[in-house]
Amino acid sequence: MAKLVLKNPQITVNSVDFSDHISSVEIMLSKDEVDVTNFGSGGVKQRMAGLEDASFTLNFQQDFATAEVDATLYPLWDAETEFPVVVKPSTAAVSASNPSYTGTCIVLEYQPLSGAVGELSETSVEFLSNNGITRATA
Amino acid sequence: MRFKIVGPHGIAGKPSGEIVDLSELTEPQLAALVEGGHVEKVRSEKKVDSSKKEKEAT
Repeated sequence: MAKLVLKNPQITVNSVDFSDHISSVEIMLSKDEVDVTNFGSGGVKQRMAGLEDASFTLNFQQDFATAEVDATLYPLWDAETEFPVVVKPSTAAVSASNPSYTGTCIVLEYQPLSGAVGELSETSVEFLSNNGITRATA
Repeated sequence: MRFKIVGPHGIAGKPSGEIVDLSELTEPQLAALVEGGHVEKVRSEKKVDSSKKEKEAT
């Protein structure tokens, strides 16, 4: 198996390809830990998986021009609408070695401007999925 | 619903300048794309009634 150095992941937010304005990506899949320990557990903790959760965290290089980062993210935050977020490890077609991760998300927190003098203006945005995340290989 | 991509970014796998079918998106999702300046709705061409045209010619 080939190891992967992230060079050209493809990331779309509400169908817009923002790969050229994103410098880091994180897909988080989790399940709540439910403690099911009882007197019959032999003195050890036992757990089961609970509710599933999923999110994407993307670090955007801010851009206030028309059809760029702010013009895209602000309406999504303002309208409180759900929209698709899709991430692939590379721009190649979806396959077993290049799976796509798709979620229908909302954005509840958005910092249009954040940074210090002389720094690149970046904003990290967490997209919370409302239907888990679908992993496709074809 | 057909839209022209007017922003610099690709939409739904198509590059800027191309016509894209966004019928899978919901109205709020489309509204956000239009408000953001990514796409413009393509106006459907007026259908010309050929029989009327012929009558006018005669």
